[in-house]
Amino acid sequence: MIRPGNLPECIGALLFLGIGFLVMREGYRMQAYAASVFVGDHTFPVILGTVSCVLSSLLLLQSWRQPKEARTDAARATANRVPLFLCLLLLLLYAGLILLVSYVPATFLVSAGLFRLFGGYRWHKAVLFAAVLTGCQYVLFDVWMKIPFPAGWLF
Amino acid sequence: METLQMLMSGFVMALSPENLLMAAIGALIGTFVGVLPGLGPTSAIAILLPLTAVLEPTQGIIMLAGIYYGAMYGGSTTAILLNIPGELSSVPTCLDGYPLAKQGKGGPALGISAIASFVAGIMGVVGLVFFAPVLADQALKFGPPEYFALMVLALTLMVSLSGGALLKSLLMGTLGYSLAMVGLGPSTGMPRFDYGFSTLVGGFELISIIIGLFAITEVLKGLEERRLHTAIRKTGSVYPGKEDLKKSAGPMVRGGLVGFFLGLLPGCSAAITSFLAYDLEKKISRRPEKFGKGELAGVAAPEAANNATSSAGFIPLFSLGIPSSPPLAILLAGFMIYGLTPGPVLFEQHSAFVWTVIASMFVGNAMLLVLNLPMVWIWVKLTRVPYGIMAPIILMFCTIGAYSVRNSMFDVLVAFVFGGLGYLFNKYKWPVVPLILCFILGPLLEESFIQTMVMGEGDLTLVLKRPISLTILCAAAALLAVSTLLNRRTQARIREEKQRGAGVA
Repeated sequence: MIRPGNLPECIGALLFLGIGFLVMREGYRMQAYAASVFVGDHTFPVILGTVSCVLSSLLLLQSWRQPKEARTDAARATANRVPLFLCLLLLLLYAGLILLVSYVPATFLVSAGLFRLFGGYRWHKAVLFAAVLTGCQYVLFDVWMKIPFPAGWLF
Repeated sequence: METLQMLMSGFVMALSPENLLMAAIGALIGTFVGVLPGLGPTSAIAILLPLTAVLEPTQGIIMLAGIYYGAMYGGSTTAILLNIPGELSSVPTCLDGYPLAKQGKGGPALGISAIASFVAGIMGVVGLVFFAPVLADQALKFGPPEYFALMVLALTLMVSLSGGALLKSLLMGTLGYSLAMVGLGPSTGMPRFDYGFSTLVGGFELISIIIGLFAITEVLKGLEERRLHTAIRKTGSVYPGKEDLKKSAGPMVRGGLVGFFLGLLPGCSAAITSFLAYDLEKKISRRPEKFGKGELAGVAAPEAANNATSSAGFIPLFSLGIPSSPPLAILLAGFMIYGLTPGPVLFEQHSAFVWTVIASMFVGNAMLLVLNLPMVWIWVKLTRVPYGIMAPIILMFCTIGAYSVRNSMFDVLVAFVFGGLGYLFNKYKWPVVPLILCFILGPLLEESFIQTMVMGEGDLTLVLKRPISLTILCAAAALLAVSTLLNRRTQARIREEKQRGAGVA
């Protein structure tokens, strides 16, 4: 099977090609509301979608011809991406927890996890740091700045 | 004369205790974030932008300008002491700054860097005082075709922001424009790209995208690189001697002039001017062989050019609404949070605000020098705060920042998703600044495009028939050619320096 010389670029080009088609399709949908064929909310999406498709096609061609960049030592050393996924997962969990148990408990729980993840601290230390951070944030944003955080569904 | 009067009244406002405090806090926080390895001015402004949103516009922008200058200075501190340039523009500072630090002369190098930044910053702000109102005055004659041409001119920035990958840069630009189109259409008011989700009708919030792409991405990069705190050698006194000052005066002025005049051109970034200033200094030096081994002129010239370009960048930003560098693009977002649109009408409608901000730049530059020289030890110690403590704090601030703009959890989710995307973009070298630039300019471009098409009854060649818009388009073509050439040259220089071992954080 023939493989592209630069696979990440090839995938990126394909994604942009898809985005280009989506944008163009939305432009054609908006044309129904326009008073003129050339001027309206549809014009720009159609132009932009076309440009995006052309550019991504060019990149796609280029990615087949281009040799993949040699991996550096630094890139090889950072091959372990588990902490990264954990961090992103914790952040998404945080967004869900805020809606579920409200801001303060969610911040405490997630920041304890983050301190453990980033600093490798033992749980008791991570919980202590999380309590201090949550307390400071509560005073700063909830009490002083009065930012209206969403109330949790549970309490 | 009128300009000077306005500036004086700006000084009266800027020297009020509250505004002075904001400038001082901005300079200090900016320096603090700037000295943290890996965080440059762009990330510093992105992280702190939401926190300034609670202030009134003048105070908020004064603080943001202070953060900008502070982070620039902080970036040069890490460049000199740790060989970690926060931005590309600090790479030339590393070339001689780090060898000086290794020789135990980090202190004088930091001192010269601060003084050069101050001198060039003041030169740049003086230029801003006289150039910006003239340019804004001319721009008042602009109609939709001229604005459309101006937006095309802003697109030439893509070349200098592309980092050598023009096709990817253009594609990221189209993504930025596409994201900007989500929401209500400007002409019919009908929702676009909402796919039945009511939250998408309100469009994406710029701050959430910025926080995701810059701040959260930076934290994820730190996690991947397993960043820790860094040990620093003894630096010596930060106050340079008479001899050092005498040797550095010429490079400072030359660097400042190169930085300012080239910085006036949209598309000519601080990275380009600092490399040019460094190379110019090396060429005219009687001892070119000393460069790269610890020559003070090699610190003074690029630092002056860097800061003069940063100040000069405010001229197209204030008068035309065009941000010429990534931090200024984020700063433009700061203006927009307060409902202020930089451009010719800004000088007309909010003159007191503009002149107070300009006056506060003088104050901010002076404050940086006064505060930072004696405090350099504190900054050095702060680089030792463990990353394991800093990163969760930054992430929690990012969450609040994304939420507080519209009190929406959707914006928080957007920030997290763009954080992940930003990491991937960074990993596979897709430049993110064109995305932000086009996201900001998208609505303006579309509006001016529709209005021009209506004016020309569907004929876009109207842009070529009006003298001002035609001139702007010609200028765009010329700038495109110049910035392509300069960018190629800078990329070649960066590759050269990378081969010699200077990395960019």
